[in-house]
Amino acid sequence: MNELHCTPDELQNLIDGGLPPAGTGSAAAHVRECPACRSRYELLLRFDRAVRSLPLAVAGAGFTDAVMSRLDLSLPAPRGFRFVAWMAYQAGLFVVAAVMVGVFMVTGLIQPEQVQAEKGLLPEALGSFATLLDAGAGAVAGWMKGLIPVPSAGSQAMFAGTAIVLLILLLIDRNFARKPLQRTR
Amino acid sequence: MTLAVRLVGARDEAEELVQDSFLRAFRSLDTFRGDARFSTWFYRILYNVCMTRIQRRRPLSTQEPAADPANGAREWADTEPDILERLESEEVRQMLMEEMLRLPEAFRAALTLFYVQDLRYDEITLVLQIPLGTVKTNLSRGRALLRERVLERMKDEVHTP
Repeated sequence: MNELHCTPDELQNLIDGGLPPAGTGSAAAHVRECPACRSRYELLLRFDRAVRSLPLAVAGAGFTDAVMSRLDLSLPAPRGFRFVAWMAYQAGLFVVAAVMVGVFMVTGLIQPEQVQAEKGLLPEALGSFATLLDAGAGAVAGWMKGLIPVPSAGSQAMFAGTAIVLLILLLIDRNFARKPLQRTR
Repeated sequence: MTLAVRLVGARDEAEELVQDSFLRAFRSLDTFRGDARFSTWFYRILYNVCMTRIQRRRPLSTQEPAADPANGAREWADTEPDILERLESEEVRQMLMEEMLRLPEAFRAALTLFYVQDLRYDEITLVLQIPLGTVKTNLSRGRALLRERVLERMKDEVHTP
């Protein structure tokens, strides 16, 4: 407050309750006694009330439903359910991969002999990777022979091919299929 | 909802942004630490979403300059009693609404959070992510600018035959 009148900020603080108690007392006393400050105070007060009374925006009738429908896509399922869903998803991918390889073999696109000979199926640029993959698949197939009979070269080719296609599907899924969901975050 | 409407102007767009904010809040629930009220945290998300939209649709070169209210003394000079009465009229409320939407975003956001959402100064600093002093300045300048523009219009209407 200057010698004569309250400043606009002091008056506003008086309205907002932002003045310290001592300041509030003296400013309020001054406002009571000074007609000019009282009229300014009154103007600020009316303005405050007018701004506070402006109509609020209310969401439309379908707002909640719209939000909920979008939330359904991302509702986190219970942990147990998520595990089962994940397993089912992976199994589905595996089946798809197996079917694809089966189709390739039936149509002659994959020759079991070629897989056995480690040539012709994979691009040469991935030669070392293919060798590693084939070796791994062969080892797993060899291990599985103890549990499930995997006698033929065709079965081994099927197994190796399925593993490769599954890996490719998983990579595609991880890098592309889930992007749109992430983008909405 | 009011905050979004006051920030972006268009009601449909505001509704879409509020929806986006709800989804974003839902997906980020684990980042809510409980330091502030949940509503404050949500307003912060909503404010960021709205400002991102505003900045995207406005080229940098046309950024609004921070409007500076003219000499506040002018508004005091000739306060007539009938102006005080008219402040509560529907016509002036309409003017206030229009002028509120014409304020720079920084002022509009501060005023809306203070008057509509009833946030305290310290909560407004959290939502707008600006220092306390800037919040107070924006509130003070926003109020002054709003008062001045509305009073100007009220006086113009009185003097227009």
